[in-house]
Parts: sequence; C-alpha cells; structure tokens
Amino acid sequence: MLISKDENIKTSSVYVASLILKLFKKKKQDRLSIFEVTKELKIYNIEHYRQIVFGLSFLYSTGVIDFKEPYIYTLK
Amino acid sequence: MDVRKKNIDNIQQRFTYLKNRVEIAGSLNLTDIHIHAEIFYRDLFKKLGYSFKDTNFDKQNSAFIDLIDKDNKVVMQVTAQNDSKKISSSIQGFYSKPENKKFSLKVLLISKNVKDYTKDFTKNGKYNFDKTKDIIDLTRLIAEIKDKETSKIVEISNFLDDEILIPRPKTESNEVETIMTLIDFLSNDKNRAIIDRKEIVDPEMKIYTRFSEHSEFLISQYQSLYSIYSGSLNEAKKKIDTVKALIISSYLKDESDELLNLNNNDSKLALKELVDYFSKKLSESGFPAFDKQAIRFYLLDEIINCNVFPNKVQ
Repeated sequence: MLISKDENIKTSSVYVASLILKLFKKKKQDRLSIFEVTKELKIYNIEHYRQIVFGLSFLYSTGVIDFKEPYIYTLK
Repeated sequence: MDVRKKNIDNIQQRFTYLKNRVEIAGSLNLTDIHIHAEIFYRDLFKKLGYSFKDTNFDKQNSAFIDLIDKDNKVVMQVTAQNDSKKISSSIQGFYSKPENKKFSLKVLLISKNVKDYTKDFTKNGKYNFDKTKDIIDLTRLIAEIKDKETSKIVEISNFLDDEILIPRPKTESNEVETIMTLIDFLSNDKNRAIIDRKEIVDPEMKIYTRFSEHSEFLISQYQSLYSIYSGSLNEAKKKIDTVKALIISSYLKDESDELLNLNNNDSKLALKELVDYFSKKLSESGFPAFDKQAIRFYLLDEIINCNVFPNKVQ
C-alpha cells in the first residue's frame, strides 16, 4: 500500500518522492544537497522531518537514489 | 520498569522547575517562596521516613535550622545559599548549645548545587558533620529517591504533581491541541502490532444500514460539531505521515471494535464509551484541560473513515 486512506496525499511518501524527483529534473543535476531538498519541499508545506525521511526512504528503497552525506544522488 | 522511569522523569522535571523558580525569585529578592519551600520539604521528607516539624515556634534554634525531627534526632536547614561561610555559621551556631549535640544536622540546598568544599566544617572533629552526606542538593535528593521502591517513587511523584504546578505552554487553541494530543497518543503506542485485517471501507453502508438505528443521531452529531471542529481537525492532521496513519488506524479499529461488541453493537453507547476512554487517557497523560467535544468530533470523523467501528468482511 503506497498511500494510506487516512493520510493526506500531499504529505504522503510517494508525493514527497515525486517532488524530490521534480527538483532533480528542474536543477538538471544528478546530485542535490539535503538543504536544497528541504528548502524546495517547504514551498509545498512539507515541513515535518518524518515526511521528508519517508519520501527519501521510498526513493532509496526503490533504487532511485543513494546518499552520501549531505548529498542525495540519483542512480542511473 | 516503565512506571518507575515515568515517575522518576516527572520527579526530575518538577524539582528542576522548582529549583529554577527559587533561584530566580531569590535573585529578585522575592523570598516568600523560600518560606513555602520549608513547608514543602517538611512534607516531602515525611515520605522519606522523617517526622520533621518546622522550627518557627522554637526561637532558640530557628536562626540556624528550619526543620526538626525529634524522633530521628535530625535537624535540617533549608537554604538557597551554598557558600561555606553560611554552612559553617549554621553548624557552629546550632552546635554551640550542648543539648543540640545529640542531633544530626543536614543542610538542604534548594536552588544551588553542592560545591567541592575544602573547609573543615567539623572544626577538627569538634562538630559531628560529614560534608559528603550532610549537605544535600536536589541532585543528591533525587538520587536518594531513585533508590526507593517503585511504590514510594510513585507516591512522591504524585505529591510533587499536587504541590508543583508547571504551567503548560499553550501554542494552539484548545480544540487543535486536544486533537493533536489525541493523535500523538494514538500514534505513539510502541507496543501496538499493526494487524492486516480484511475490511470493507463503506461509510454509507455503515451509517445508513449497519447502524440504521442510530444513523440520525450520528449524522446530527457530526453536523453540529463540524462547523466548530473541522478546521481544527484539518490543522491537527497536517503532520500525520504514513506510519502514524497506520498505527492510529490499527489502534482505533481494535479499541472501537471491542467496545462495540461489549455494547451489543449499539454504536451510540460504544461511541460514548470511546470518547470517555480517550478522555481518560488524555487526562492521565497530563493534559487535563482537553476539549471533550473535539475528541467526539475526531472519532465521528474516524467512523466515516472506517477506522472506528470497521466493517468486517462476512
């Protein structure tokens, strides 16, 4: 189950993940810092650390990104 | 173990708050709190096995000591000053009378910490005073309390709850805070296992068919509370993530289903009991000023979400 019926879709892990991927596309980079990500997510009212962590966890668990503190990399 | 930890944490918190209050009041020369502190500590030490009485009526000794326990032959000075000069003058002043030598003197520091005293308070063995044991600050007092049995720790924790009122910081309206606190409580149950059960999410069937006997009641309740609490509910739900949503859903399904069974499928009675159940939980968690109708609205909303009184697959 990707989204629970009991959570707001716009704070769900899949939606947060989509916003992060959109940011990669916008910046035309394969590397972003966590600070850039949180700054962008704040525009969409994603402010709680758990929402950000679950979004990143979703991308990591599906093999889309990897981490090297403080950077997030897309995997090709 | 959890009870012990929870109560020790509470004791530490209350003492820290009191210590800071006394320290700040002292720096502003507002010394009335010191007078009340003597009575407070008199009553606290009774729970540790002492039988202190205050010495305000004993003019001979009241200059040097504040509490006297004639049964255990112990006297105590309750002071906000931790300098060696003050302690030394209390010891010498008290023990200057030969009849006081049978008493053991303790100095309780209510706002400052014990120092690494180098002064010889005993005056070369003349006075019976052990600076490592007879000067007690709140750290040492808490260490002594921690060593007690759990029942005694709970007793002291409850005493401190009654005596030391910590103002609760209010950052939201009461309705929002009630629902947020309830959500935190529901999502914080670490021992709860998330059970994957087969259900039918069909609020219309639930309200109009399954609970047809009380459908008018449930709908009218929801309608009347909606205008007051819907905004608060949306605000409070903003921080719910996937995991919290699952935990909350599981908790509500378990508890509400059990209450519904106990009330012979009477949704009106079961809802009332569920509201009372969570009201009690919030009160016990240190949030006595909650809005009970906010809890009711939250649960009515969760009836529609099929987390309260879930429809089971036949």
